[in-house]
Amino acid sequence: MTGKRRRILLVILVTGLVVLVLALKLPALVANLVVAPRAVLSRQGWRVSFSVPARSLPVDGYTTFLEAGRRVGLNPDFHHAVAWTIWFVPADGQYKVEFAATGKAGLGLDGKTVFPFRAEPGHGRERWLRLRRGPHLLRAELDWDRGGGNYSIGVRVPPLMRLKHLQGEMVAMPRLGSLDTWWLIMGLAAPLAIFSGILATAALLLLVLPLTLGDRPLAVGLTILLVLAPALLIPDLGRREPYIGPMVHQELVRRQPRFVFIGNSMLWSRIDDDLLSELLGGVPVYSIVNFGGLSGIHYLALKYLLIPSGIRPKRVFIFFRGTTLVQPAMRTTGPYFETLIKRISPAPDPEFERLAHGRAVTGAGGIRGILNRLFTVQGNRKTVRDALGQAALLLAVPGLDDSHRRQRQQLLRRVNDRFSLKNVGAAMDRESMHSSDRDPLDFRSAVKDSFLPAILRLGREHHLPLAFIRVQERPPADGVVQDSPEMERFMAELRAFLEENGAALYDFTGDPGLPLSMYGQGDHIREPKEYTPLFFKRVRALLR
Amino acid sequence: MSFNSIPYLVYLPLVFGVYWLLPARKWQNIFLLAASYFFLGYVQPWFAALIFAVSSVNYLAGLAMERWPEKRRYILTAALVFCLGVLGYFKYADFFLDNVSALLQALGLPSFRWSLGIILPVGISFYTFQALAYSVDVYRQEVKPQRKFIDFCLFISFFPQLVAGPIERSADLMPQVEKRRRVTPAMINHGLLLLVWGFFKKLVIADNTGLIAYKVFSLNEPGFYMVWAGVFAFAIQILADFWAYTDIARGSALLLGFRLSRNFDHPYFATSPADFWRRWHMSLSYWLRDYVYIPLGGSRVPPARAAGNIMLTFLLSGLWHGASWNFVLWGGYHGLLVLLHRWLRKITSLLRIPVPHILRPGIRSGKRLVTFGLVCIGWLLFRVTDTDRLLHLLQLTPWQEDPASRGIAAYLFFLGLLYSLPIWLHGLAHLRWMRHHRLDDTLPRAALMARPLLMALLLLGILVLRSPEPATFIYFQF
Repeated sequence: MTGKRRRILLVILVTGLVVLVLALKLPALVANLVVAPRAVLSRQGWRVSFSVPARSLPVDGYTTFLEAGRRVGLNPDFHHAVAWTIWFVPADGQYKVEFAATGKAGLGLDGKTVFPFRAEPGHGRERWLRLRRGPHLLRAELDWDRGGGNYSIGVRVPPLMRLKHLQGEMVAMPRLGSLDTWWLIMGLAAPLAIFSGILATAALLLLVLPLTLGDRPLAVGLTILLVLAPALLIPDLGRREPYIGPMVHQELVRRQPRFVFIGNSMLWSRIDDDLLSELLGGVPVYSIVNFGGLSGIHYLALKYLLIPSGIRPKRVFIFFRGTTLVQPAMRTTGPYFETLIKRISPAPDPEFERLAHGRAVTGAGGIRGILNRLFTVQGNRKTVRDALGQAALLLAVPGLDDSHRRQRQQLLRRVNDRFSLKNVGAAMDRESMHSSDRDPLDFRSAVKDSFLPAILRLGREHHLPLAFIRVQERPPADGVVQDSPEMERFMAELRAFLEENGAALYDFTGDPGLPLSMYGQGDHIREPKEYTPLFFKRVRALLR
Repeated sequence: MSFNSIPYLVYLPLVFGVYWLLPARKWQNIFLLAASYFFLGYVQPWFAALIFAVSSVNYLAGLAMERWPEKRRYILTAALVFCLGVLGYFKYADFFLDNVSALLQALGLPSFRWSLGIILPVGISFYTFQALAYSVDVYRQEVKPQRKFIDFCLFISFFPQLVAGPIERSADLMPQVEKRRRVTPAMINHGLLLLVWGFFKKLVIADNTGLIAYKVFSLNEPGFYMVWAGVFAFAIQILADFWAYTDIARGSALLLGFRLSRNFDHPYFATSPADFWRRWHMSLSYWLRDYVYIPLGGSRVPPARAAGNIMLTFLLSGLWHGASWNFVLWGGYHGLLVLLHRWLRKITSLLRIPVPHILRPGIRSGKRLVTFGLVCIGWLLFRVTDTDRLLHLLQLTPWQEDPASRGIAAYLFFLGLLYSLPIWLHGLAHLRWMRHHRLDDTLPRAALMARPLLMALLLLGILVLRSPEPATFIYFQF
């Protein structure tokens, strides 16, 4: 390669990298330096421009202010509207955004489409977004034929996942002149980043590639470097799960709960925080829900979400089912749990690694940890796998219009239903959670290597009285839930162990107040508001 | 130790480093032998003791055959009895006892419930066949017996091909053990490519499609379309899984200066059942051809006996795969396919139907599709070990099917297809451009330049697409 060609390639490489960095920062720069300084903080809502063609004098580009609330309504018989607001995101994290509108509508954030502009009557749309702390520009585009309409935007924040509507201090109206221009500039960031990234990569490859042709030792080194480079350099683009600890700590400090609940969907479908708080005469309570999580996840939630907040509630309730408390490896692997673990713990926890994966953070586990930290691109696993699943759905139901989209959603539901536990044979059932947490275990031998001693130790060290709540599984058709003699023995040993260690246990199994009619899907309760009073009544002694 | 485990990622670079630091071939061989025994005994140390026994017996048999040539038939028989006895005991004893018990029960005689509960030593089917082939070759005086015990033991237990092949012939591997090896940067580059491609095939293609197949075959009532979508996924899984093992083995061996033989040649692009067996698990196919089929008389015997030879060879091939009737059925099915195809070819050659030139590519593609379909039927026999369930699945028809299942089957099929796309593209590229330039041999300059790019893409694929539930290699159980 000639010196001149090499210099040109170097210039392209450096320029490409600089543009790439700038492009990645562009939306944040515009939002922070241009849009946010012009926010009208006193007007907590939307600036809406709309056209009303049906009036005698057609109105075009009419602008008004709409207050943000559960639903944002626009009454005139307008045709097309564009609504703007600035959303102040309180902390880095993953947010599930829900959007519903009465007509054709779309939602964008920082120049990017979040929900495409289309009609989806009767169906709200939802999507996970990874957002940085600070201001973000939201743009809703709306189209109604007649009679006005409304839209709503809700946000669910892990781990509680309760819906919050964009209102109050969360939003402010932007005052800037033409937002469209800035929107366009923000939108340019992604194509610019891709283009400059490709350009820089191409220049890098052209600089290095010819060397691999030779049969020289240097060629091996360069080949290895070149092979590793993309895997090392591509960041966790879809890393939607930074550690959520600070968000939860902030919330705990704000609420000062007297009782904290830790659990999975079993807890989520049973306890209504507001209702329980009301029953307790206004005593605040707080639930930390990690869907699908079992004892390992509860251990991490206790250690990294509750304890560092400094809040010392009167009691911490941990909900569990069957024998899961002494089955440490259960539900700790796979993309979902990998992301969940990252979300609730700031770094690999040695105790968790040892108990859940049978590995020390040194040795094989250490190597795995190093590889995980080195190749951050792995954080995109779920996104890429989901995209592949979507591509398969698209091939199975080709077509891009709304009816095809609905058919695809229906097909996905059917797939999930077809492979639900009721349809699988003994082979899979044995490996599934549903049966294995009912398999009686020898408590004494299982407890040693479980998370239970670690959870109890944390409770003791941080002066957190613990109470374990065993939920009743779905009753059979005849309405009676009864443990096998092995399970009864297991529970007796568990109770004795917990009491020895200063913790309490309440077992809902066989409770006459929990008939089959109260159950929704599987072991979930259909309505937490029905269960919460029962819980209050039964566990009153522990709630004092 | 499994290739797809963290310990192997540490083990291979360590072995590579120490091995090339050793000055003499002798020390390299001693080190490789120790490393190979460590590799095999990592989980169960007695596995290493068993391979040592098999190696010793065949080593001594080789020397004895040279010393007493007139008694070599007896010596060979003794070696065969030992090797097959070891294989029979560890692999087939429980199967035999179960069947005797079932037979007694069927005859109304008092049956028994004996099970020896024997653990199948990893790789036993592969290394006993390799040792047997050596003894037979010495008996036939095609190779000279190996005098150096260390070298012989290394030939039997060379770790890359120890657990799941390829089954190497002494004529190919022994000279490499005996000679001083050298490694070039090109060999390292090529070895790394094979490793990355092998890991991609295992962790991304095999494990993901395996998950689809696993889910389908775990359903109580999968239905017609779902079963065949599951079979398609399994067809991909088993190819990718086994091919991956071979590639990782060949890549690892290449880093140590050894060249192992190819075991696969795009078998799903085969145009006939016989062609499939020339492309699938080639080292076993050639082993069975040379040590079973030809000694039985091959095709140079009356047609009925030749047909019998084919059937026997395939039934043995099935039984080699596992101690279960479904494997025997699978072997018999393939034998039948090969026979039917042979007869069909005879009939068409007698009829001499002219085929226009323009139609030939289409006919060839049709043959490929039909062969793939027939192979897939075979995979159903291979996958479902319970005979009652297998019969039930074979009786399913599309007419009884709930229309919703068709959509689910289509989704699963496309998901499997997307995961396996690199294998199909590789096959197509091989057909179209690379017939004379294999990925692992000499490549044109452009392809050489693309190699690091390809490896980078494969590595990215492994990192982001690998299955959440990694599985052990299927052929470990054989």
